[in-house]
Amino acid sequence: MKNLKLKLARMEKDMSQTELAKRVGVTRQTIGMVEAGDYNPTLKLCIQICRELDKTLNDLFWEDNNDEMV
Amino acid sequence: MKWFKKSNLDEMQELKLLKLESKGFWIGFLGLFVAIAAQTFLYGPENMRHILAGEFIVLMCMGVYLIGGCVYNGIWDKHLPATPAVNIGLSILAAAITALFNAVLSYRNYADASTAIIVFVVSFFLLSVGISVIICIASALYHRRKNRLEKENPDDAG
Repeated sequence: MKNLKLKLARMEKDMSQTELAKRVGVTRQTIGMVEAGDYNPTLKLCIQICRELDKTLNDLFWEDNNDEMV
Repeated sequence: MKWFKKSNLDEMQELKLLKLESKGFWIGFLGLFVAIAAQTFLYGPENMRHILAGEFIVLMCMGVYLIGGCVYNGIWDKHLPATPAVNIGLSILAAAITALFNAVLSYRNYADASTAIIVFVVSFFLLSVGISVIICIASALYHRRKNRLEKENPDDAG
């Protein structure tokens, strides 16, 4: 399930995947996989991402009933 | 040795590496098993004893480590339950396959069908009993360990 909320939040902050990855201490590939829905990050990483994007866990990682998280 | 503790990998890469290492373990384990069986069949156990000993020891160490580690952590199998019926069923299957291998080896060495049949029956019986006993002991240890792990701490019961 793609995480478009995360992608939109990152773009709102005018941040590239590389930049976000650097700030939270992971590779760009990991951020890419999280956004694509191919990797489920640990809670620790979720919190770090939320802090960098000034969002809450609900904002970015809560699952809706839709196929994609919009 | 601080540099040794710091990982170059992030959490996703660590997980990928774990999966690769797991597959690598199984390739090695099954590869050793096939190598031992093939060499025993091609050259006979009497010729290979001093060579196979090392491979056999490595195989046994891998097996003991895996089984011991899983039982200690309350893990049995991904799909099969640790019940007597399944344990004995699997023991019989493993014994039958090994006994058949021994019988084929015997026939190849001595070209005598009756000897091969006797080898099969005796191997099958001994292996069935032996493997069943080992699996049942491991299963009992697993159940005891799992119950201990699942026992809630009175402080956490709330």
